[in-house]
Amino acid sequence: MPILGFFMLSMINSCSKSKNFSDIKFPETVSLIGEERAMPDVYLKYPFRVRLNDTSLYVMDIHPADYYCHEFAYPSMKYKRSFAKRGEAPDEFLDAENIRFDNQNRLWVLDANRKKIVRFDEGDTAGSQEDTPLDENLIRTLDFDLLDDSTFIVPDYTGRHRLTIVDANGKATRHLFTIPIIGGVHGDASTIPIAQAWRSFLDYDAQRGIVAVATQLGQVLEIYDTQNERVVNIVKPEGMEPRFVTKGNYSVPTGIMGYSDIHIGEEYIYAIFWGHSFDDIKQQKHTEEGGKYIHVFDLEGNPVRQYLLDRYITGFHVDEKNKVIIGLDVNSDQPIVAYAYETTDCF
Amino acid sequence: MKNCLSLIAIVLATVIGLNVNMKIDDWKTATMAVTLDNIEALASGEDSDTKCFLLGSIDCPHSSVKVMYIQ
Repeated sequence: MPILGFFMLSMINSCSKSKNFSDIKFPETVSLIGEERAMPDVYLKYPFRVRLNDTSLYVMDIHPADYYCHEFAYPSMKYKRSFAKRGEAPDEFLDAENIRFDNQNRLWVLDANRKKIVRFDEGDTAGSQEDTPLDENLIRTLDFDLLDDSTFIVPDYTGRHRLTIVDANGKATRHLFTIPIIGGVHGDASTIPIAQAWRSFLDYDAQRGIVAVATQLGQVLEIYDTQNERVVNIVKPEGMEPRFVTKGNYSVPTGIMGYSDIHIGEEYIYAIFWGHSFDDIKQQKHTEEGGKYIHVFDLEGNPVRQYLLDRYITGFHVDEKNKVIIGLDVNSDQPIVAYAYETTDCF
Repeated sequence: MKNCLSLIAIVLATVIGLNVNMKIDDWKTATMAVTLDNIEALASGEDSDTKCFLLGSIDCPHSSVKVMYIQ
């Protein structure tokens, strides 16, 4: 009889749990335990991007009170400076989507609402050094990477192409590929909601000329060879591409939260995967923001392994040399978390 | 007698569990309604059927504020 009682209680509890979606079969799953990097001086509301550059850690917050970007000494996490001030003045930011370093250790910040990419020099506290206003024909550029020190690769909402090369003046010089939707995408106004639903994050590997693109609102990984204009692979599990309904000119996502950050390493592509359905999110069955999975693929898009984390992260920096992943846990007051993988020597 | 006591304990635990679960759900719903109203006011467009809710990382069509979901 007591067994029956416990069975009933288990049934009640299981009803309130939600499902994680992922249809890719990885050969192995490796669990990782994170170690918090205490950061007492700065409160981050919703850290979304993190970059490690030598001994400085840069964190970008998408819901800041004052500044979008912060620099810390790493690994001590001693606060160094804040920049990209939030505000409506000409040199202030309405938004920050991503941060990137060029080969000269200069930091670039994308402000999608002001339609520009802004450069900060290393250690600069006075303000931005250079603005690159983006081509007026681009609609909401929500991510970017550098092809070289003055050329960028970006996605946008026009839907007419998947990626665009932008020169140092912000002018679109070349369009690449199309959204990999069945039946293709036609270049009229109706493509904008499709492009919204296929909003993606990207990473570019300058050494090989490869760009990896991961959808935020579905589970699709795209790998393109930009030098030869060749599609390397589209990893799109059946039924997991972005699902949406169109209301007016807008797309309303109805499927899942997919990927939120992507990185191309020496041998592998890493992507943070959430897998939360919007039904669960709306019903507050998933209150944590972020993904517990890091999917690892080879450079051809074949699944290699997945890491199962002990917390949910939104953005990461993959330090392959030291075999450490620095993640951002927005659900914690101490959001910087370091995950050692394969070795523990670096802790 | 021992079996009878076990049965009563199980029934009591089940009832208490259900009650607590329902109260938590009520609290969540009430809290969510208040929060949603605030964010909705912040992020809904006057000329559209779409509305954006809570702070998150999704691009909202009407606002520079990124949100958790759109309806």
